[in-house]
Amino acid sequence: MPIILKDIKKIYPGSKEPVIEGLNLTIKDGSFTVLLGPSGCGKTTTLRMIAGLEDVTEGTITVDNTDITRMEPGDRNLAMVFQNYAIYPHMSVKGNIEFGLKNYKMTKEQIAQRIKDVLELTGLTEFANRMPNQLSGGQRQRVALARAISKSPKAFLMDEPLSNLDAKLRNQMRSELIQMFKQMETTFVYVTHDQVEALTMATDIVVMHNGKIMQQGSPKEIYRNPQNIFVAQFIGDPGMNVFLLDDGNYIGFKPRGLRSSGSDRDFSFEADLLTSEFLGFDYQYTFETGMGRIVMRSIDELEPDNHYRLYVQDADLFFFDKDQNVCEPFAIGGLKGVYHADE
Amino acid sequence: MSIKKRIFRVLECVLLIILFVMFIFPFYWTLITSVKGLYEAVAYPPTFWPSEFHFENYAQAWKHADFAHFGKNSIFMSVGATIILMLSCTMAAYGFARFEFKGKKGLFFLMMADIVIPAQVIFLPIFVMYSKMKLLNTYASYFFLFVYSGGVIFFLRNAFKQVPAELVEAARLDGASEFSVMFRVMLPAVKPFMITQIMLSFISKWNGYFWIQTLTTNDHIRTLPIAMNRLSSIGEEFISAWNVTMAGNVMLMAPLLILYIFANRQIKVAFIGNGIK
Ligand SMILES: Nc1ncnc2c1ncn2[C@@H]1O[C@H](COP(=O)(O)OP(=O)(O)OP(=O)(O)O)[C@@H](O)[C@H]1O
Ligand SMILES: [Mg+2]
Repeated sequence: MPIILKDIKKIYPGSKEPVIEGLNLTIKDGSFTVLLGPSGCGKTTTLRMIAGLEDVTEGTITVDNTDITRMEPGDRNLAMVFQNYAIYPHMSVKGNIEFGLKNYKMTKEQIAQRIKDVLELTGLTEFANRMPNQLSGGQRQRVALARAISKSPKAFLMDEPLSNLDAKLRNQMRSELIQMFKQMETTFVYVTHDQVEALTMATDIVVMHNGKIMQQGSPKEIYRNPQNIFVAQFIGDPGMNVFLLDDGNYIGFKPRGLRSSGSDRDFSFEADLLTSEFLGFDYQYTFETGMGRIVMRSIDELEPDNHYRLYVQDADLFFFDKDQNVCEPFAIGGLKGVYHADE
Repeated sequence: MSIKKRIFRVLECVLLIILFVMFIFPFYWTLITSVKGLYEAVAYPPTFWPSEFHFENYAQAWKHADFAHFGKNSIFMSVGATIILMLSCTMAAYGFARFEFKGKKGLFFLMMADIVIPAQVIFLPIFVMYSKMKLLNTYASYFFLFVYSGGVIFFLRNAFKQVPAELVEAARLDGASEFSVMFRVMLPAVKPFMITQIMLSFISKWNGYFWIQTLTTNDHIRTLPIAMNRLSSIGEEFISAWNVTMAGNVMLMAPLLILYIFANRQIKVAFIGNGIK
């Protein structure tokens, strides 16, 4: 059964402006849903409202058709994994898991069995009696995961759980999380501002901006068919190049859709090459168009300090209306300038 | 090691030795004087090692200062006041650290005022009040003084505030009740601070002189520090029995030393073994 957020509004006590308003979101049962967006867009706030750690100003949240909007966090049967692990420093690994289970109606034997199972699953068996300060960052995060798993929750809520780990460990934990997700067949709600994390792990991505949902879809949908300029420019490495046109509409193309050669039928414009960075597999070039800078990713090697005509094939063009939403192709008029959504 | 470093080390050692002597010498002096004879204790020049050991000084001190009565009072009142103080202040500090409520700012201000106003300013009204309530010379009158301390509340509130909010949130998600959050998550997380505060509280009650002296008119609830006065008046004409006085002082200090040694280890374990990270 899904988690449904309906007409959610959130105003933090002491402030007047809502940080979230009119938020409607359905998190599909058994999905790995990633809330993705720039810093301050309200991802954590949304997750904490689901967990019950933050009051909902207006609207309702339901899980399995049960209204949980005003329910105590402990009664929601959800588990949360925090960015800084939040494992109890004065309890052993075992104690950390046991603490939550004791509040359930379970016998001593059931608890012991459950602890044994989760420790095995997370590869922590040999650390069962260690104190948290005798564990590495990765092991601590694993304890937090074990604690969450042990409760067999209806959903796992995770707020940037990997951001405190170094790059290598992060990759490793990422694949472990994916495996865990496949084994559990439970809903995961995962917050991050790292699009690589989102694209690799999610079944569903929810892109947020200023407390609003900009687009929800599978990683492929989000990547290939951005619904608006914000998503187009936020996703991708780097994001989409967008021109504002004289008539107020926009056109865009991805850095990989830009070519240094093409035919007369293609959309084209002139630009000076400013910088080139060799990235191993390909190059990243920055051009000055006279109306602003654009970026190109290409395996072609270009001469530095040169003047170029750049081409985009029709299939690689994206069209946006005055409201910055994707629309039917139109005849391209004069270019007014390069546009960045975040400026 | 460079010469500069070596000189630095030597200076460091010398300084440590000076400090050591400064702190240890009074202890040493008290200890050896407590076993000297009546005349040797006041002899000039003083001796640094007793020529004879008079352990009976301790028996004398015990008898004359009535350790049985005053010692019992000291233990009962110090332990009792510390328990009462810690119970009430921990809960108040927890409230200030964790909850938002109407009048919080005002209450906090009142609490801070308690830190600034010295006891000497309020003892007279308290004395008058106790006397009218017929509470003078009762244990209750003493314990009432310690249901509350702005300093302790402030200290513990800051300790509670340092505990990461996520710990409490994790506990709430684990279905823990408010009491469980307090006793099983928050208190263990601030254990070193609690132990420090219990120590400080106990020491100040054990050594406390002012309140007991001002709020009593007889010996019923008086404690050891006051009883020590009696020891200087024994001895012979023109010679105070310093040896017996020192023996009394050693017995007065001993529990604190033992407590310190024990708690010191506890504090270290708590800080190093269980640091909040
Ligand atoms: N306790 C609070 N009181 C007032 N405002 C808050 C509080 N917590 C967050 N905010 C505000 O709400 C907005 C959303 O914050 P939130 O923490 O949900 O962002 P986020 O998307 O998780 O960002 P990040 O990626 O940096 O973690 C921000 O503008 C933030 O300043
Ligand atoms: Mg956040």
